[in-house]
This record gives sequence, C-alpha cells and structure tokens, in this order.
Amino acid sequence: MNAYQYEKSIYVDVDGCLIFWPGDKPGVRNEGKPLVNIELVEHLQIWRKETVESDAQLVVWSANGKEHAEMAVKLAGIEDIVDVCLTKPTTLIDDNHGWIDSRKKVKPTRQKKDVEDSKLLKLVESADRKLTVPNDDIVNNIKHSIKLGLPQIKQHDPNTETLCILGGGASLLTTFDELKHEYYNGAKLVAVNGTYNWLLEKNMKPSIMAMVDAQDYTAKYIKEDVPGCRYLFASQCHPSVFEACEGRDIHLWHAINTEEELKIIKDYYMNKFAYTAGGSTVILRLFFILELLGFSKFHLFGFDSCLTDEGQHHAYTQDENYRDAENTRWVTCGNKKFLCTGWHISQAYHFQEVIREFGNKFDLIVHGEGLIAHMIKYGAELQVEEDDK
Amino acid sequence: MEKISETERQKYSEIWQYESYSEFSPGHEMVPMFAEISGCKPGDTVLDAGCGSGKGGLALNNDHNLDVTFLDICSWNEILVPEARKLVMTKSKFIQAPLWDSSWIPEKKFKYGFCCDVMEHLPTEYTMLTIANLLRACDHVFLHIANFHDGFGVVIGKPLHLTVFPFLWWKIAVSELGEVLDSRDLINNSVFYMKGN
Repeated sequence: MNAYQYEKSIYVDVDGCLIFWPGDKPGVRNEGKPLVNIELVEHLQIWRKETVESDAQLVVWSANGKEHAEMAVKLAGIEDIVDVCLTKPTTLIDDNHGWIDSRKKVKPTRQKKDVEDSKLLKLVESADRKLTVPNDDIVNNIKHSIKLGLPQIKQHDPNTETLCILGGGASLLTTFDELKHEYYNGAKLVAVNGTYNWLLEKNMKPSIMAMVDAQDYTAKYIKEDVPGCRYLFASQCHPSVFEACEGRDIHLWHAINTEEELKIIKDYYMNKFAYTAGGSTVILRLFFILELLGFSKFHLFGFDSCLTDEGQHHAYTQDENYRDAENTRWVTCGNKKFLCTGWHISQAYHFQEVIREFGNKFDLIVHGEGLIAHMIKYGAELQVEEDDK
Repeated sequence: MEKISETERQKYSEIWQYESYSEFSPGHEMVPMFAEISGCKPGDTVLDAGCGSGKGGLALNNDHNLDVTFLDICSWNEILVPEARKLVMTKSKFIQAPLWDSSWIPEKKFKYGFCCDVMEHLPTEYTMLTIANLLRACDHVFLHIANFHDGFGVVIGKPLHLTVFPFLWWKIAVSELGEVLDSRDLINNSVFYMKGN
C-alpha cells in the first residue's frame, strides 16, 4: 500500500524526513552517518511506479541547500525517481493558504478572515470550547489506553465496500427503510455512541463501532459484545470504555487536540502512529479514519446536526443531551431554517470545512432532511439568524 | 535442524556482504525505547540476540554502559561493523549459534535479552522456540518485530522476512510463552517486553 498514491506532486524534506541523523538532539547535529528512511523510500518508489505515465513530480528539498538534498537522494538511492533537488524556500508567496497533508492532523484551514466577524464563527468557537473535557482528564485517559497494548489503526488498501455511518439524529427513524435497503444489499454498518444499541435493538449488526468522547458515561453504549464487530476507540476514551470491551477487537486511534497529547503519543509510539484529521465530533473524525482503512463510499444516516422543529435531538433516549433543547437557535441553510444547538452548528461548520478540503476523497450520500443533508443537497452554506430562537 | 541452520547462516553471510544492508539498524533505533521500558542500569548484562551488524549492541554499550554479549548465526568477523568488532576483541563476548538451538543458553542468566528485527527473519516454526530460549536465558526480553515483507531479499533472490504477521498475531503467540509486561503496536512493527521464565 502506498500512502501517497493519490498525490500528484510530492515535495520531500531531507533531514528528519528522508534521512535521519542518529543521536540528534534539537539544535545539535550528530556527526555520525545518516540513516535512510527506508519506509518512506519504499512508498515513494511505489508511488513513482504508479505515476510513471503521468506528469507527477517528485522534488527533494532542503533548508541546507540543493547539494545537501542531492547528497540525501544519492544516499537513499532514489536518483532515478526524483525529478529535481532544490533549496527549500524561506518565503513562499502564494494566494493559497498552505499545504494539506491528509495523513496529518488538519485543523479547519479556511481563512478565518472571511468570517472572523461573523456570528457563526463565534458560535462555533464557543461550542468547541464547551465540548472540551478538562485536558487533564483527556491526558489521563490517553496515558491509560496506550498502555493497554492494543493495536492501532493503520492504512489499508482502498476497497469498494459501502458503509452506512449512523449518527443518532432524529432522522434515523424516518430513514429506517432506506437504511434497511442498504444493509440488506450488503452495506456494512458503522455505529457511533448510542446508535450501537439502537442497531442491536433493531436486530442489525454493526461491523464497526467508533467513539471519541472522553467522558465516563459512554461505557454504557457498548455493554453488549458483538462478535466480528471492530471497535475503533480514540485513545482519549474513558478507561471504563476499554474495561467494558475487554477481549473485544479494539483498535486505537488518536484524536490529538493539544501539543501535550501529541507529545505523549509520539514518545510512547516513537512517532509510529497514524495521524487522523477531522473535527469536533466522532463522525467528522470517522471520515478520515475510514478513509485510512480503505473505505470511501459512505451513506450517512441520522447525521442531522440539528433538532427537529419540535426539539427532538436523538432518535432514541439520550439523557446526556436533554438540556440541549434548552439552548438552541435557528440557522439558515439555503432557504430552510434549522433548529440547532451550539455543537450542531459547530459540527455543521466543520463538516463544511471537511467537504471543502477533502470532498474529493469520499463518495457521500446523506439521508434524511437534516441540516447536513440540506447542505449537501443544495450546496448551501450556514447562516445564523440575527434573532435568537 | 542443522541443515536449516546452515542454509540460514549461508543466506545471512551472503546478505551481510552488501554494505547497504547494514546501513539501517533497527536495533540501534530501538535502544532508547528498550532503555525506557527496561530501566536498565550501567553494568547490567544484555544479550544482543541476532545482533547482525552489532550497531544495537554497540549503542547499548556506548549509550548505557551495559555489559553486552553479541549472538548471531553468522561469525562475528563477517557481520559486525568495525566498532562492534573492536568491542568484541576488547570487552564483549560473541556467541555464534542459531537462536532456536538451546545449546547457547548459559548457566548464568542475562539480565536482559535485546532482540530486534530477528523474529520475522526466522522460519515460523522456529520463532516460538527462539522466544522460549530467550525467556530461559534472560530475566527480561525485549522484542522488536517487523510486520512487513522485506525489500532486500531480491538482491540475493530469497525472501528475508519468513514470518510476517500483524501485531495481534504476535501478541497472542508470545503471551502463550510468558508474561508480557509491555506491548506496543508501532504500525508496521511490534514491540514486546516480557518477563523471563
């Protein structure tokens, strides 16, 4: 499997990337012989084979100059696949906002200037802050879970399987027939949080169960074991979640929201872990996790990101969200109004960002009449109503 | 068993003649993690099991002042890098033996066994025998195992990684042999730190 197979041009840095200097410490260069990053070289060689008929370019550049880049290329034995060696730019003038590395954590990259004065962004930022579990708790959860010796998620070859991803929104009820249709036609089911139990009640078997929430109450979602189901838990999930699922097929992934979390994970795994991009909620994360696992065809059910007009927030009882209906506002998307909580707005906003940046990677069908479905159907953007409620 | 040992020895004698094969040393890379997990102290004895170029054992000696014994199926003068050879000539011991053959196990246990990128090179039927030997010979054993097929075997027309399985396969298998104190899935590699028997 080549991690770079969809890339048209690749610029590879030299030190710390193509080659490593054993014993380096920050700011101190060891005088020993550099080591070649064989794994990267193998990926690049496969990528070159796959792109040999195209105009794809492989550039190796270094802040230490063109000659240094040429030395590294020679050392790595990849002269035949590199197009050009360059001195790395110190200034880049471009109308774009940067490079995106889909294998690294990506924060929303839309220029905030566009919307910095808008009510929408303020709401999103406010909701994101409210979503945060105390960082100490998250750090403790991570320290606990990584020591459990669980396998991590890793890149797989692309496949053509269709997945139905189930959010807990109220539209799950109205789209149940559509879900059954996909399921009986071979689609696999991906449950998040409470939709796991909801599916079991419907006598339908999830193939994947995913969670990101760091709070302790989430253990109640996974009480029943489903043989053959793969449990994809963020390392920040609460210890009680792992305890409840002991002996099941759990794979870890890492949400990583702070430098401290990144350092813990990097140190523990010697930097050998998969970066997963995404946003504030588990479904936003799932797009990238599932893409890493080789999936790209998704049907979304119950991913409403809004309440019903009557204030119903889930397709099933979820006590933790009962207060959500107390703090809502109307948002407009195209010509339709939706009743949303802060985290709904945040999720919809981040969903827009995900689609804007990575929409070409996924084949998405959103079922229901919720805010997300409307955004996809009409290509409409979010607007917050001036008057609350 | 003797025939396979000889075949394997010849294979690695051949591959170590290629300088580029010793350019990257997984053992050397893993020394910091071994030190972190084991909490080793200067003077502790360690067996660099399947030492190859000896860079791992060299780093254990140089960076942590451990009392290193090298072991490999090939002879020391055909595989060790010059600095490791010097160490063998002045301070360290070298044992030439196949790891799955218990004849090399000394009466006095090593405090640590350090075995990096070896298991995947062994015929599958010898992997558990080898780990069992290591657990007999050492108080604690550090295993680093590659979970991918090698790219270098084409040079001699023979695959080098004969036992390629994912992290979970190894975890279940080694757990049958002894207590696993630490296990880490490093995506394409697995690490296990085990208590000796």
